[in-house]
Order: sequence, then structure tokens, then C-alpha cells
Amino acid sequence: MTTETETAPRSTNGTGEPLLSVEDLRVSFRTDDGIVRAVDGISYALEPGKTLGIVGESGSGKTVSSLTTLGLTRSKRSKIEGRILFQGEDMVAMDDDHLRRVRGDDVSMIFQDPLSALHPFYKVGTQLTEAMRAHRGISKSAARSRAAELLALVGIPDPKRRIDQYPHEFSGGMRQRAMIAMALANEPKLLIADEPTTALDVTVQAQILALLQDLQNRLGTAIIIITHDLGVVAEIADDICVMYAGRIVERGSTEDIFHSPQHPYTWGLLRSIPRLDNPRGEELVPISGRPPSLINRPSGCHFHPRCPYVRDAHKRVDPKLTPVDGSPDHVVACLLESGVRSRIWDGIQSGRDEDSLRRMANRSAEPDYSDIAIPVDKESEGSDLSPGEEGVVESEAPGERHGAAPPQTVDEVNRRWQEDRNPEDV
Amino acid sequence: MATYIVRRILWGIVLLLAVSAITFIFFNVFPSADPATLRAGRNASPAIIHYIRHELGLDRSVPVQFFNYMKNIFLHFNFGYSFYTGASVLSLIKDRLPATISLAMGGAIIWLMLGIPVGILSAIKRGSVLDRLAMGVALVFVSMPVFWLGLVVLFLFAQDIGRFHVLPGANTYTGLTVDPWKWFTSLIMPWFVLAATSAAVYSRVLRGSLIEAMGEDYIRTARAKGLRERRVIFRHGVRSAITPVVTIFGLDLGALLGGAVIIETVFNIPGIGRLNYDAIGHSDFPIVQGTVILATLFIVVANIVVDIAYAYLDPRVRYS
Repeated sequence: MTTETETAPRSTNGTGEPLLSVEDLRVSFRTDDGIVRAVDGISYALEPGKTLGIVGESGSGKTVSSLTTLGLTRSKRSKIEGRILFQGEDMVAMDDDHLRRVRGDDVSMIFQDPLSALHPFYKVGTQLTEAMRAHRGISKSAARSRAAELLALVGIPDPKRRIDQYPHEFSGGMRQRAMIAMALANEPKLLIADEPTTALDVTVQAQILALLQDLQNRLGTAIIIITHDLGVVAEIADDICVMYAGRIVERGSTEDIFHSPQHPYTWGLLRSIPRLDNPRGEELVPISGRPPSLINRPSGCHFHPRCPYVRDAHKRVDPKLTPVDGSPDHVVACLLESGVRSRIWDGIQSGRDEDSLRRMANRSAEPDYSDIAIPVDKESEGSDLSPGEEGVVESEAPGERHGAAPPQTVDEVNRRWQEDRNPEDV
Repeated sequence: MATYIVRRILWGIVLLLAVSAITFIFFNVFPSADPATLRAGRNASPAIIHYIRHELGLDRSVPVQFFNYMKNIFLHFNFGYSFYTGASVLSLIKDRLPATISLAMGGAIIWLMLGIPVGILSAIKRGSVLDRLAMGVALVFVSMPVFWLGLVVLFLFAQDIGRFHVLPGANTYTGLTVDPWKWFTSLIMPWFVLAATSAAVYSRVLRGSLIEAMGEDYIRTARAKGLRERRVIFRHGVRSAITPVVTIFGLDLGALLGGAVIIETVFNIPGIGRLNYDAIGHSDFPIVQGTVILATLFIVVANIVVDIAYAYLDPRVRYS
């Protein structure tokens, strides 16, 4: 596999020393089925008090990368490479005991499902004081009164009574608030929130996000928020990393990502968010196919089996993260030419149908016969022009209209393509 | 919670009544040897048998007998008298209970002291040589029948018949109050034989349950808080994983107090199990009835205690 060659991760918004700087992080796990490359060379940086959103589907490596920051993926079966510099110290190289003293103190984490993340047998107050007493030599009673203060801080009413209750006596939103209180117990400089709102209902989601933002304003905590929902990060993140198959495929400011997204996967994510400002009746467009196996990843661009704009060459060439024209902090790993990308995105926004979008992607490629575009959802995998790609995860290609025989000539490819354009065939 | 306990106790009493009724039906209604003949001994004249039958109330109708039987048990705690010796069943049970309690408690302490640490270590060092070895040995002990293991141990270590004259053999049980040291040494072998199977079962149960617990999200949270690994394992992992062990422990102990028939027989320990075994051999029904009801009582009580302990261990049960 080729590697991402980017060396110096950009620090957020230009100035200042980064609080956290992840450099070419790789995490793989040995399993019975093979080596899972969960994180495959990612780099990003985060300044104090800022918020970074890491977005991707399940299995994109977003959770593993953050668990690794806390050393929670260390095991006999895992291999961690690269650097995670937190306040200048490398958390990858750090010994277990040193790392243990950092986590829960300077760096803390909240998890997706607060019911399963809190111990069912201990009172909320006990779990809070335990977090404090693990790092601070404070008395039980002092920790207890601070626990009540923290519960009040995160907006739990009647905290003095609540600290003596068990997690199952809390509502879902209250439990997540308690988790946040626990994470904030030692005033961390960095809070990693792994899908903090996914298990909660929508009204509570908004409250939790507002709470995180409010706490950040008050305490100056930097936040990494991990989610599959771009809608969540839109509200709270300064910068966004879009992850796919263990890599960052696009990284930029929240404005960049929402206003001029560059990667077809980012487009897919954006098009799958329901928006109130969209016309009624407009359909959400799901991203077809499934996330690839991290054991046998697709060749070339890992997104190619699911990319509507894939060209043959994309199955062989592994794209590097490169800056977007005129926006050095905005990087993308996509083999489409930037002109083509902006045309397609404009097309998506103006509501063009899929076929015409695909034609846009292909038009620029037409003169180059070595690089003939075959819309992946029109042709079966069997008609692939470049056989012999082992380990390609088959996308769920609908409509195998041409049977299994691969096209033998360029003319035939063109003919089939013409047929594809013919609406009667659909 | 209080109403729950009261309800459980009431149900326990109902269960005891039912079991008493069933034992009565087994021994008094179904065809069996004539108790009066048994009681009378050999070559008894018909007049004596008739007299005894009247004495035992066997000449009354079955419902009247049943009523008297139940009335005696539940109002007077009178379980009747042995057909053979005429001794009251209750006094026989009282005599035999200390031996059974000694056997059960000592065995339980040993199997917990073996099973729990082995289970924890195996779970934490999952897949290691230690784990594989411990689980292999556990499998061997689970598979060994107690009567066989008991005889093998006697054959090897008993002072009278053993190859290595290390421990007092069968038939040497001495009461704790009579001679504590002899009590202790005479019980070492039965304790370990009793504990072997249970320790194996407990280590395997705890290992499985702890492996499961250590995969829970709250363990990840505990680690993310920066707790020491020891604390993560014991305060967070074992605390959750121990509940199934507490459940089976309560039930095992309850069943064991009702008499460990095989071990008490192999090692000739004068406990409830031995009493029951001998009584069955002699068709001494009042004793069998008494021991069966006693065993039921222990199991019912153990169940209630386990449920209360469970509610204490798991707050989610307490409130629902």
C-alpha cells in the first residue's frame, strides 16, 4: 500500500502551537482473518480550545484513531505506528503508566452509549469521584461535593440527590450529561467525544451539543468529536476530517467542507443529511455499497468500488492528500481533476440527476482511451477492464445489464455506454 | 424489597408444604413395605404388628394420616420416629447436621479459594499457557465422578488402605467440639474431593463471565478515566462478573447442606446424606421423609438468600 506522504500537519487556523498533533498514525490489529488496518496513516492537528470533527461511517477508523490517542487500543494484537504529540509528548511512545496518568486527567473521553459506558453497579457519584481520586489526592467528601458541582455544571437538576443514584435511574440524556461531567472532572485540556449523541433522541442531541459548546467556551477545552453525522459537526466543529477505510480522504475547515467539498465520499455524506432548507420531497441520496473490509482493502483509491465517478485508473492509483487549488488548508485525496470535481459539486447542488453527473465526470476523460470511465453501477464487476485485482470488496452493483462478458474493445465500451445513456434501457 | 422478600418466603413455605405432601404420598400411599412389620422386627406376632400399626396411626384413613403427618411437621416440628431405632427423626438430624455443615462449609471455602483466583487469572491471561493449563485441569476435574475421585484419593492417601499413608482415611470423622485437629484432618480429603469439581466449574464460569465483562463499554470507560489496571479488573470487571458465581454458590451450598450423599458415603462421614442413604437401605421412611424435607428447606432458603444477595449486588434488580 502506498503511504500518505504528507508530513507537517496543518495547525488549525494558522497561528499557535497545536495541543494535539497526530502524525502519520497507523493502527493495525492481528485477527484470525488477517491484519485489520484500522487506521492507515492519518495526520491532523488541533489547537487548544478548538473543535475538530472526525466524520466517517462505521469501520472508517475514526473511533480507533481516537481510542489510540488514549492508548486504549494497546494490546498484544495491535500495532501502533506514527506519533501522537500531546503537549509535545508522544503518546504512542509513552509507557503504560505515564499514559494512564494522562488519560482521564489531561485527555478524557466520552462514549456513544452512556448506558453501557457507565458501570451499572456503581452510583453516578461514586463513578465521578473515582475519576477524580484516580488523579488527584483529594478526600472523599471533597470529591463528593465536587461531583455534585460537576453534575450541576452539566445541567443535571438536584445534583445532591442525583449523585446517590445509579445510572439506570437516569434518562438517556442525563446519563450522557453525567458522562460528560465525569470526563470533565479533572478539567482536561482535550475531550474526545465518540458519537456522543448517536444513542440519544434528536431533541436531547441538540442539548448535548449545546452543552459541549458551552463548556468549551467556559473551560477552554479542545474537543474532538467523532460522528457519522455531518449535521452534528456542522454545528460545533472548527475543522473537519473525513475518514474512509482508515484514511483521511478530505480535511478542511467546516466552511470548506460544507461549501466546497471535494471528495465524492464527502458529497455522499452531505447528500445523506436531511436538511430543512431543501425543497420538500427532495430525496436523500444514500451512498451505495458498504464500507470496505479493512483486511483486504480495494486497490487504488479505496473508495473506488462505491464511487459513482470512478475511472479505470482510479482502481490502480492510490490518491495522496493534496491541497485544493487556492485553499492550502483544505486537502483532499481524490484522483478526479479539480475542475471536474467543482463541476460535479455544482451539478449536485443544482439538482442534476445522477446520469448527467456521471457524464460530467467522464467528459474530461473521453479523449484518453486508456482511461475510459465505466460508471460502476452500470457495469457489473465482471466486466471490469482490469481484471486481477485481488481483495476488491465488491460493491453492490445494481443492474448487471450486460451479463458477465467483459467488453473487448473500446468501441464496445462506447456502445454499451451509449446504451446506458438510453433511458429506455433503464 | 421487603414485600418481595416476604412474598418469596411465603412461596417457600408453600413449596415446603407441597414437597412434604409428595413425600407422604410416595411413602404412605404408593405400595411399599409395611412400616408396622418393619418396626416390629423379625418374628413378631400379628398382635404386636397390629399394636404397632395402631401406634403409628397406620390403621386410620389416608387423609387422616396425612393431616396428622402435616400437623406434626409444621406445628410441632415432629418428623416422626425411626422405624428401626425409635429415635426421633429430628434428633437424628440434629446429631448428623454438624458433620454435613462441616463438610459443606470447608469444601465451599476451598473451592471458592481455588476457583475464583484461577477464574480471574485465566480470564485476564486469556489464551496464555496458564489459562490453557488451568482450563485443561478444570475440564479433567469436571469430568471426574465424585465417587471415583473419592475412592482414588482414599486409595492413594488414606492411612489405612492408601499407598502413601498421609491422611486419615474414611470412618475417622470426629466432631469439631470433640477434637478440632482430628476433625480437621479427617475432613481434608473429603473437602478436596468435594471442592475439585466445584472449583473447576466455578473457575470456568468466572472466567467466561469476566471475559465478557472485560469487553463491556464500562471497562473502556474505567480505563479512559485513567484508573490503574488492578482497579479496572477488580472493582469494575470482577464486581460484575461475580454475580453468576454468587448465584450458583448459593444454590450449590443449599443443595450440599441437604446432604452430600456420595461423599458422606465414600468417606463414611455421619452426615445427613449418610443418614438418608442408610435410611433408604432400611426402608426407614420417617427418616427419608425428614431428610428430604430438610433438603428442600435448605434449597428454598438458599434460593431466597441468592435472590436477596443478587438484589444487593445488582442495583438494577433492587429497583425493578
